[in-house]
This record gives sequence, structure tokens and C-alpha cells, in this order.
Amino acid sequence: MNKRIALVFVPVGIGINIVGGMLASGLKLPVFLDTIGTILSAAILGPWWGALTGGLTNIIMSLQNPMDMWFALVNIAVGLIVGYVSIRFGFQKWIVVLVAGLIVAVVAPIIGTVIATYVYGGLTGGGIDVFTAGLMKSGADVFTAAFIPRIGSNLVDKLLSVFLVMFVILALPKNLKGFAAGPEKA
Amino acid sequence: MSTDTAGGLPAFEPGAFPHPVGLLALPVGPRMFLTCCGVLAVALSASISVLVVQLAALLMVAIALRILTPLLKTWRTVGWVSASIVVIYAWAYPGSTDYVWVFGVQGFLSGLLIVVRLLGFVTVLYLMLLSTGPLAIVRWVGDVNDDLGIMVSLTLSVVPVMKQQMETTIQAQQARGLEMGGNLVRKLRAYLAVMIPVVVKSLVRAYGMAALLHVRGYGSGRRDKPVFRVTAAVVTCYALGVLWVAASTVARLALR
Repeated sequence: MNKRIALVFVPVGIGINIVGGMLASGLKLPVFLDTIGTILSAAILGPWWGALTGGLTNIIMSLQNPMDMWFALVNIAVGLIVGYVSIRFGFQKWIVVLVAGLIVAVVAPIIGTVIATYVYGGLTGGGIDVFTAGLMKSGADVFTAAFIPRIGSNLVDKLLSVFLVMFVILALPKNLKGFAAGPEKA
Repeated sequence: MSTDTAGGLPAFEPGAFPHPVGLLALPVGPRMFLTCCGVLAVALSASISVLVVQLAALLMVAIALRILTPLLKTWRTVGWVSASIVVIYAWAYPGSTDYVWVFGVQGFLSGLLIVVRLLGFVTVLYLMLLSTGPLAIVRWVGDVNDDLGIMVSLTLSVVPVMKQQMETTIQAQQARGLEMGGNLVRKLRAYLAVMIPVVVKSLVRAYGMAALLHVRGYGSGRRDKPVFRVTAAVVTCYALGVLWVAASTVARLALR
């Protein structure tokens, strides 16, 4: 993959993140689905371009709502994890994709909860706060109470995202797959 | 300025807009530095009183920049979550020992600290955004790094096209009988039916854009970088940022 392709792939990845998130919230889905572009960029271009796609997504979104900037770290971590998995094993085998999705589904809410606990006290201002409040009242510390409701939705969110990307990559011609083709084919 | 030309829109007259003065004359780079220092200083503050002092100082700056009203309006974006934090922390915070009816005093104070800190973050970040504007920030990114600038510019041009693409795809799929509502499985199916064509078309567009960059000779010659002038105002800005973080750190250590 030459640099020019990477330079245009990152904006498209950011666009996919933004449009994907908009569609998910428009359909009132209980998941975010706003990291598809990051995962796609990372799988094809590698970890650093993936991290750049993730980081820039939140930075550009923060031009409209600056509080989105905080969660750039989550998106960067998603890009790095998927990128390294893709470099090492490719991104076309379902078992590799499943393991990558599971790792991302655990790491992303851990980082997200640390940020949300510090900035927002672990709450979202939505209905899920009742669950968080219930866990806090039953004696759980703030981090645990904020983490447990997030892990379930992240599991569905990230697994759906990685498999969607895998199907897109499988449909791509060989010369456009980049690192996702696997170490021996890249 | 006359308003009777261009269909009621104000006509452009050279020199009609005053040259930026005072704080508004500062370049974007030092402002970004000051914003980063502000975020760090607020994050380092662990006492309500220190945070309130910083918040008051930021509001004074907003008054000086004449953006107090729009700045206060941005507080509404975190209004609901702030109310939730205070109520839920007062009711459910595990560390509460003293109670007034069902609400714990320690929980209330912890919630209040988080809310004041949250307002501090919102104020610092929106102060930057309202006083500078997104376009100036994008231009500054291009000045810092060419590749980053082209990526941000391409993103800003690609996103509206992709939104349009998404709307067209939704209409096309609905015409083929796709239902956008219903249970969770049906919604997920609708999501995939819209998202997969959007992603594939975006990739095709990406390769078209890469070819255009190649044809236009992007990367073959570097453009001249703008010269950053070090003025007294810029130096003061950097010094203020460092002082702000240092004061916040000292206050945190002293109040421990």
C-alpha cells in the first residue's frame, strides 16, 4: 500500500466511523458501531494508520462536540490492536477475527470506563445509569459499576464490527487487501 | 455594509471586518497550547474551590472575548448528565457515612466535584472552539503537517458525500422492501443492508481520490511553510499555560 492510498484511506475510514455511528443511532440500536472505519483501516494499512484513523475521528468529531475528544484513546487502542493482529495473522480467518474482536471488546470498555469514570463519574445521562446506580448502591465501586453495563454492549458492538470488516475484506480484490491478506500474501 | 445586493446577503467590502485585536489576535498554535494546559490543569485539580476559581477565571476570559452567552449555552450539553451525577452519587455513593434523608453528604460532594470538573473541561474546550472556529483549527493543522492537513481536509469533504450516499442507499433499499424499524434483528439487518454498500462505494472512492492525488503530483514538491513569528503575546501565552499547570499542581499538593 503506498502512502497516497493510506492518505485517502484514513479520511474514508473516518467517514465510515461517522456515518456508521449516525446510522446506528438513527436506527436506535443499543450499540455504537462507530469503529468500523478504524478497524478497516487498521486491518488493511496496519496499526499506526488505524490508530491515526481512530484518533482523528474523535478529534474531528470534537470540532462539533469537544467532549468527544476524550474517547480518542479508545479508538486509537482499537486501531493498534486490530492492526497488530492483521500484520501477524491477516484478517480473513473467522477465528482470528473472533479473537481480535474479543480482545477489542474487553480492552475498549476498560479504557472507556477509566475515562468515563474520571470525566463523567461513570454515568452517561441515559437509562443505563439506573443499572450503574443500582450496582453502586449494592456496594460496588464506581469503576466496576460503570464497567459492567458497558461490557455487554461492547461485546456485541465490536464483534459485529470486526465481522462486518472481515466480509468487506473478503470481497475486496487481492491487491487492495494490504496486511489483511495475511503475512505470507501481503 | 449594504444589504440590498446578493439576495439580502451582506456584500463583501474589503476592510469591513476589523482586524483581530487583543486575545483574538493570538495565533492558533499558542491557543491550542493554552487549551491543552487548561485541560491538564482542570484534570489535576482535586478540590471544588480550586476548580470554581479556575471556572470563574475562564468565564472572565469569555466576557472579555464577548462569548459568555454562547459559552454558557454549551453547558446544556452536559446538563442532564450533571444532574444525574449529583443525584446518583448522593443516593448511591459507596463511601457515604453521613446522611440527610436518603442522600449521603460525601456522595453529594463527590458528585459535585465531578460536575464542577466536567464544567471546567467543557468551558476550556468550548472557549477554544468558540473563539477560534473549526476552519482556523483545520488550517493550523495543515500548517503543522502537510499530510495531516490533507487528511483533515479530505475528511471534511468526504463526510457530507458519504452522508448523502447513506441517504440514497436507505431510499434504494426501502424501495426494494427493506424495513428500517421492528425488532433488534431486523434493525441489524437493515444496518448491514445500508452500511455494506456505503463502505464498498467509499473504498472505490478512496482509490479514485488516491489516483487524483497522484495525477496532481501530491508529495512531489513541498510547499513553503508559513513563518511562525515569536511575539511578546505568544511568549506570554506559553508562559501563562505553564504557570496555570504549575499553580494547579501546587494547589493539589498543598490541599492533599
